[in-house]
Amino acid sequence: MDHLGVPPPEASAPAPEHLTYDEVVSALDGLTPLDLARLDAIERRYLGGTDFAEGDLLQEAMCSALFEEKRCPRTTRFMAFLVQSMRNIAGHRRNRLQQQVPIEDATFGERKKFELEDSGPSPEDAAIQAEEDRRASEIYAALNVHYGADEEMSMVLLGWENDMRGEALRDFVGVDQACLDYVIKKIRRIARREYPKGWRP
Amino acid sequence: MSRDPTDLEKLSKLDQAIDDSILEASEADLREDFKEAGDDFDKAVARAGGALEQAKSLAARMRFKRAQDESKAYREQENVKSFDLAKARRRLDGIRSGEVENAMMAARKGGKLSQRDEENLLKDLAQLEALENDDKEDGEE
Repeated sequence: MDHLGVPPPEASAPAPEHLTYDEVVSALDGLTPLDLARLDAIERRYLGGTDFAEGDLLQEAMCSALFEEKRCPRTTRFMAFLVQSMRNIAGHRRNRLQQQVPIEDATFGERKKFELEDSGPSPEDAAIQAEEDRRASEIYAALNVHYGADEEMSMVLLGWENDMRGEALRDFVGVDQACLDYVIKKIRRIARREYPKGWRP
Repeated sequence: MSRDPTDLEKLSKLDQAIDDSILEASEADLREDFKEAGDDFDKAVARAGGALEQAKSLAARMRFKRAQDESKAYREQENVKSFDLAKARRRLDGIRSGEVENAMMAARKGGKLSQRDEENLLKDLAQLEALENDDKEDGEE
């Protein structure tokens, strides 16, 4: 299912800006085996640093759409919406797990876990951010060992950094579509080989 | 002057671009991707299909539970309503028989009310009862 493919409800009133429950069900029922394989491939890229088992993150994203916790705008492709939901849900879970800092209880000499309050930046948040930046630099350097030596891959990465896609990217790299597809496939497979569950800890 | 993106920002853009490439990949390419990673396209479809069925099942149960709760709340509301009407009927009978004081003259002489008049009067009395109860509660606070 490349596009939404869900007609707006028949009514004289203007259609709501977001998909209704029935439309979400219809969109889910319309997912093809290829769509499901794509979602599975993307899900595993975000499992790192979370406690989700395979399938759980995708299920959470689908549930949040069905329970209308997250609502899909009509202007967004349903598949892209599910992918963004998975990113958000995984990110929140990762943050929550990272903020469960074990501290030494001086009175009883045992380790306890507690959850920090979710209000504004704290020294712990800053430390987590700094750690994430440090790790990102390491990962980027590690990936560059594979990507950097290949001029076309480097050009594609530079184009992506500047939000280029499709024709703009093809013109920027200076190759035809078949070659661009091949280069992107190489980048994707290197990333999956090096970080099967994504690069996040 | 714009600053250079951090490595974290670069990785984030790389992530999105790879996701987009997966969304646009052909089945043949994806099959190759899974195979190269020691996985299988059809198993991936089955895994994601399982997640989909679970999500739909959970949503259906939640909606059923919500409908049950709403139905229960509606029934409870109806019980309260019929109780109030029964009380109002007793009060009307009292008014007719003259046992209730402070009733309006018109009501005390209202022995020949039509069915519709009587129903409307019962509703009014039930509402009055409810208002009186509210007043009592307010007075107790």
